[in-house]
Amino acid sequence: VIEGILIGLTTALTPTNLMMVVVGCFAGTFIGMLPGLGPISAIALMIPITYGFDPSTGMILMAGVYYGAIFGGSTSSILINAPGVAGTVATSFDGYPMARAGHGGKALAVAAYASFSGGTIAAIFLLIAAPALATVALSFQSSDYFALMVLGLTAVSAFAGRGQFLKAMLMVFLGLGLATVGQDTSSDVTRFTFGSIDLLDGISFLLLAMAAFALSEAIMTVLKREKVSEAAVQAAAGKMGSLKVTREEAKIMAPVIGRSSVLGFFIGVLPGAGATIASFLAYGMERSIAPRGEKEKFGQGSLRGLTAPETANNAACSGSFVPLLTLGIPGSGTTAVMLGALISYGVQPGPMLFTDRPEVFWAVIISMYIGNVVLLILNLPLIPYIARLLALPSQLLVPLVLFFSLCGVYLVSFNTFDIQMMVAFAVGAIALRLFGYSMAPMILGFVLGRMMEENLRRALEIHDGYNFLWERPLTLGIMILTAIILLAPVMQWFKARKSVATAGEGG
Amino acid sequence: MSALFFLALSIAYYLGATGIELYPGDEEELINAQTFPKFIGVMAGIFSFLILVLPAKGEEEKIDWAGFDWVRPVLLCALMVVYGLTIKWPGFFLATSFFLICGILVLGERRWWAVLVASIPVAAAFEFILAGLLDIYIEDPFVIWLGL
Repeated sequence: VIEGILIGLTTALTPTNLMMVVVGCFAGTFIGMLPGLGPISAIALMIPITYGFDPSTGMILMAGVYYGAIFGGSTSSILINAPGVAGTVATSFDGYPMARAGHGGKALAVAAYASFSGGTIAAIFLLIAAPALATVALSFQSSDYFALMVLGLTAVSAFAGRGQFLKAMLMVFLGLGLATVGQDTSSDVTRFTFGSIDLLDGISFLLLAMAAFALSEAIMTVLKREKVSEAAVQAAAGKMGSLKVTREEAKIMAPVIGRSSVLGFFIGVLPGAGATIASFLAYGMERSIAPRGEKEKFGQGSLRGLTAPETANNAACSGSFVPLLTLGIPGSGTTAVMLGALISYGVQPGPMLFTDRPEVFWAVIISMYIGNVVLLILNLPLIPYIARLLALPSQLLVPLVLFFSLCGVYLVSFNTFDIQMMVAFAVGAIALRLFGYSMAPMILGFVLGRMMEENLRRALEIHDGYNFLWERPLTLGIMILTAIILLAPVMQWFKARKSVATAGEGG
Repeated sequence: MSALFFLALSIAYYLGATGIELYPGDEEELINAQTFPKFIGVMAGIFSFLILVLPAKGEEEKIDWAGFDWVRPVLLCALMVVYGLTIKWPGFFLATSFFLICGILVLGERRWWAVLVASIPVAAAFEFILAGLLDIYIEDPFVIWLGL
């Protein structure tokens, strides 16, 4: 581990990579702050830029963008009550009331300290957990990977929210279906290409990610007539008060940070859970254990209520890198985009990454810590200036976002068919969003689709049949866990129906 | 409505999967090029059907269709299609400038200095960075015609 940390430090501390962390954090904060654009869009927009980079440098830039986008999302949550990211919704519960009371600066500082602490503690956990899991994962076989991917896709849907399970599962299958377009990797048979040469290589991951996130999110802001709010103009004018946090306030924050970091990290490691669930759970936990007088302050500008979700969402971001780096299986939409980027660099994440490309593995982990330092030292003091972007008119911003997205994809393939396909996918994504379908399960299904088929094929060849599902204990264990996750909503539904029926009989 | 669309899509996808050509003998294999797509088609069909028959949570009813601005997104999509058609000829610079100017105007900006500052210099700077600094070849007949 120490050797690995040294490799990581040597790679991450080169002037180029340090610059990438700084650039990534700034770019991420900027994009994350813009209404409608989340971390997935921020990372997707970076992929074409990083194509020519060394994989470590590319990943370092993207990790910086990820953290920056979460921080930027928190800023717009606190200052204008417009969380650009689901993971920072809980931040607005107490952050926005603080800002309205004239303590916007303090709320931002608390959020930054909480994010820094949560990210740092989780980076230490990651330092310990990732190599340990990577070592264990070396003994995994194709059947285990197949089962893990099924588990990941099911879990993403299970955590999609109340009443969203079926829709999320449908989106997973849409992603898996889109992944089958093109030449079959093992037999070279073409599938769903409709005779088009442009589809022979399949649908580009970058194209799909850009269309489903950056393009559709930008157009949705126009569709929903989202305008720059009065709060944004106020924030842009720099009226946010002092950034100072007193010693007493720090004493209140410290235990909350400790608890929320641990919770956030472990929730982040779970496939499908991620920053949103971590932040809500941490908020709920702190509210339930808060002293009586403090409990009433939640929702009205409570320091604990702001610290808990901010710590947990950053810790969960670090946690979500554990399955990505050690198993090669992304647990969230954001890490799915990162997996796609890694594959496009020619790096296959998984347990072998730890031994084959230690510089990538460790540099990403170390850069997370550096990213947190950058956010605290550079971004926080600059927030009053960065906040001016909140008032940037959307009529200038949206065409630029569309242009960068289209160009990003075109400059990789130089094929104009890709631009037309992007527009078609963006229109489809907008329609699906309007009907309440989430894009993250789709992109996860798309990224895992080919790997899943490949691992299933290998497992079937090795075991000469589907017997691997019950003969190999690890595979069986993962499949049982998947079945439990899959059946839990069904059980809940039956339980709810039964209680309604009982209430009906009683009334 | 969305579930019905997905059900139709799943059926069409499944039928498409059964039409995937296989090499002789592949039908006997445990897994062939049709297996995974067929499974996806069946599962997607089952989930679409479940959404269709199970009681709705009411999200679709909440959509305020009338409150949306439909014209501008449609125009933006049309502009993107035109951008794709013009990027090779008359070339990157003119196509990008046209796209940005029209996009900004479509979204309601009427200050000409703002329209021009956020379009032509952006297109020129981007092309310079790509072609001049990063040495990425961009097909641009207009720039060639200018002799640059």
